[in-house]
Amino acid sequence: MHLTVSYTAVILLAAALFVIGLYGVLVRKSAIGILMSLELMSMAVMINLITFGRFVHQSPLNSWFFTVFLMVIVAAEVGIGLALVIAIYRNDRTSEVDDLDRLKG
Amino acid sequence: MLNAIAFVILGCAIILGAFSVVTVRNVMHAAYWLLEVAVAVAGLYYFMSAEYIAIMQLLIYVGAVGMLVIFTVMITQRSQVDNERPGVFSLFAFIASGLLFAAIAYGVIKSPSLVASAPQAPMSLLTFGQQLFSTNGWVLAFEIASLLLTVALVAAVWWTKDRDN
Repeated sequence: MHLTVSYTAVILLAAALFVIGLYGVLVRKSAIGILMSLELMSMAVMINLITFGRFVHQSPLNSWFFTVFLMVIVAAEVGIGLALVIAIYRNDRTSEVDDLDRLKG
Repeated sequence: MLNAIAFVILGCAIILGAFSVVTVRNVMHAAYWLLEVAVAVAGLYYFMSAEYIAIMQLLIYVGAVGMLVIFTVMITQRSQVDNERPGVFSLFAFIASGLLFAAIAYGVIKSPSLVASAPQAPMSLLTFGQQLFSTNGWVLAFEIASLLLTVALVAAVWWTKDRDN
């Protein structure tokens, strides 16, 4: 017995991961929580790329390249984001985005 | 195709872990759940015969990004507990996310099947490396990525520098 699933199921799984990340971005108050939710969303995008490369395209090579370069970009984004969180914490003694309302007027 | 038992186990691990990441109030526990999700996604890559990507996922997400997040939580979180938003806002966010998921699922299910008819060519890491560093391949993107990482490193050091003294 060798049960298999179609690529549609994997795409739906990635979509669920993406919307869970979106929910986290909307409801989290701490900036680190928002960054973690953004990472969930980027992981969903990478699952999509690998799935299409594996099941739809003839050769998965291009999906591998896209995923590796996306990982580089996400690593840079998280590094900058966390550095900004630390800088904001050093200035304002808070890492909650609701407290950063100086531009509100 | 993908083994169904492995897919169900990994899918449950991914969904439940991701839900814990966004709902657990303790930010440190959320960071641990993020590591769990990253490991489960690496397993999913492995079962989709992308072993190299699975190893890269473990190295970059679990090894580098996860540790960075945990260190930042330790540096900046005073109370460890994330404050809750009002219930109305959370409900609104839940409905918006659910609507987006419904739209995506409708599009995915209604769209015609895209599965390639020809059998998959076996993927070799040798071809991947040769394409990555060939001048008519991806070497320009590789160089731009290394430049991006350098700029990000310098910017992160500059932002976290103590400017009081």
